[in-house]
Amino acid sequence: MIDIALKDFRAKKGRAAMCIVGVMACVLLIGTVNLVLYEMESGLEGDLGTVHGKLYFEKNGTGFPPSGSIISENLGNEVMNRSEVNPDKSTKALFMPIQNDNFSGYTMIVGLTPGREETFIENVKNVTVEGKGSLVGESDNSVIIGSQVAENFNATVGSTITVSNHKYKVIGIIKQIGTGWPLTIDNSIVMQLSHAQSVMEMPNLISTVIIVPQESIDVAEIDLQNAYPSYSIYSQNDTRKTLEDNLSQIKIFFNMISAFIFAVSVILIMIVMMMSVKEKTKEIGTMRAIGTRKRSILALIIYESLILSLIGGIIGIILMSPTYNMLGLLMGAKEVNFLSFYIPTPILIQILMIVFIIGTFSGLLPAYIATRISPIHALRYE
Amino acid sequence: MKDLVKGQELWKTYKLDSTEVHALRGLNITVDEGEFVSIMGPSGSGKSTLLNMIGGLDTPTKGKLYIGGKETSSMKDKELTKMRAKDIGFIFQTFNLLPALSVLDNVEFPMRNLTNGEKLDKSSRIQRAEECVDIVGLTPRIKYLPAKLSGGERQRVAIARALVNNPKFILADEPTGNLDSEATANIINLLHEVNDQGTTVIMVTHDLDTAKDTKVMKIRDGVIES
Ligand SMILES: Nc1ncnc2c1ncn2[C@@H]1O[C@H](COP(=O)(O)OP(=O)(O)OP(=O)(O)O)[C@@H](O)[C@H]1O
Ligand SMILES: [Mg+2]
Repeated sequence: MIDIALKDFRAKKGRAAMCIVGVMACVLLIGTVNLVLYEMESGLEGDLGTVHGKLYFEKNGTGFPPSGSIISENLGNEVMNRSEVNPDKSTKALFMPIQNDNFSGYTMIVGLTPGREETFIENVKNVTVEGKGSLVGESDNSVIIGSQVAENFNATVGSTITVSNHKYKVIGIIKQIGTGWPLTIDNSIVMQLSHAQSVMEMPNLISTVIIVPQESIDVAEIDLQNAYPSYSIYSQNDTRKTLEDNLSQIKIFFNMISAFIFAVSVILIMIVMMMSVKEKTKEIGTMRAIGTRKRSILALIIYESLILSLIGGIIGIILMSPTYNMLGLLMGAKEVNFLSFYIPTPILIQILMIVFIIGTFSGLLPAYIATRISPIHALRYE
Repeated sequence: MKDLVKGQELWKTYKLDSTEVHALRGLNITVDEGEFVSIMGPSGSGKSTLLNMIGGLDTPTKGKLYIGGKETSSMKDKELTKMRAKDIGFIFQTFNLLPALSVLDNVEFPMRNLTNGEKLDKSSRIQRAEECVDIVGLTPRIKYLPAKLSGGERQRVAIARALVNNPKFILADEPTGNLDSEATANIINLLHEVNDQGTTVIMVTHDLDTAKDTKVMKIRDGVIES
């Protein structure tokens, strides 16, 4: 029956094209929406991934990034000396956001102990640094900057940037890791803690201690929390919560859009298939008259809608990457490779499932109606 | 077998709103194997109704109908469908070819309707279809779509399609109703050839000429007159 379904399309090209375009549009829309969501999620993971495997000791109620927290350096030293804390890897850190005049958004000054840059930069995602990744042995005003900062200040390794009337020498640039939200690695200027304190005029003050635990992270978290009940210990569990809080609304909204588009395309194909069945009443009746079983009629119509939606789906998938890139271009991305074809596997699987479901669902009712066609009625049908 | 078709006291009643239309009123009919029967009668007398019933497309409201010895009014749709596929060849006034399929595919199509043990493989089906296309003399047109054929040629395709499963009998409802006299003669000749090979033919016609050399049954107001 598949060959017959295919021959039917050749005879009715316009209708087939309409279905194909419908599914294609659906796949394109749902796919792009999901791709945006996926990129956002993965970007946020990058932004918050720096917390992975570490604890941030900070003033109660601060969260991440810890820029709203101010504690004394003495308290920081006390925490650094605790047995739960690995003193060779942990670091006191000062986070200070700076509003910029010549572009929207913030830049985050991050001061930390030279040699402990990894503690902040290390991420669930792979981090690569162009130039130097360590401030050890460099001049006071040396900085390692995030990709977004490099872009905003048009900086390259070795160049000098001026931020709030202070000059800094760029010795390293961290490749893009997140979305730039909310003021994390991509927007950071990493420098020596002492230099950050003097530039910010905050002597003996820090925001947080970034703790690499000696042993179990969970035990360290509980112990520290018990020891300092009026401070908070921010961990990767809190990260996940932050991530979910930030995404859940958007996710619900995007899924609603997807569901709507899905419903529209199911209904569209269903209507077209109904029209097709109605139009083919005489043919289907003839088939039934000469002994075609109901089951075969059912299969014929479902094959038709399935094949149409598969073709539409495949075209949609092929066009998804260029569309997404185009969207990126419209939203201000600087370089876009239209030839790149990138769809994450989970999204590809999801799309294929959607296409399959559209094909089957939209075919079911028309197919059922087709099996109900009475041959006698169809033979009289003009 | 002697009685291929045997109908006893066949009634067909249609209810339209409150009025009842009796298309058949206690009709009796017997068709023997190998016969060529022409059913004639005025418009609305019940010819198509009777033919559809014999073809297992419709069931009598009252009475008993035996096809090949089997009572059909108690058959389920599934069994009727199987019987139509295997034992009956249909020819319609309006040809009713499948427009998306070529001549060959149209003729091959009914063989797909056979089930399990009876269904041939694809290459045997095509071979058999080519044979039947050859019988009706359309081998040069075998790749054509129906839209490119004349009425007479289309009806020849329909005859090939009706023959392809070696049915017990062929039912033809005004097969020449849409054809000119030359095409009509051609089709009737073909049906006679088919009948000579042993296939029973039951045909509805308005035209005395086409009924020549056949067993004529006259139907009027839902009963057979002679
Ligand atoms: N589905 C139906 N509902 C109601 N009445 C019907 C139906 N089918 C047939 N009839 C009626 O039954 C009668 C017989 O119809 P039938 O089609 O068998 O006539 P016929 O002898 O084939 O006529 P014709 O030569 O015009 O084809 C007609 O009066 C017709 O109106
Ligand atoms: Mg009739």
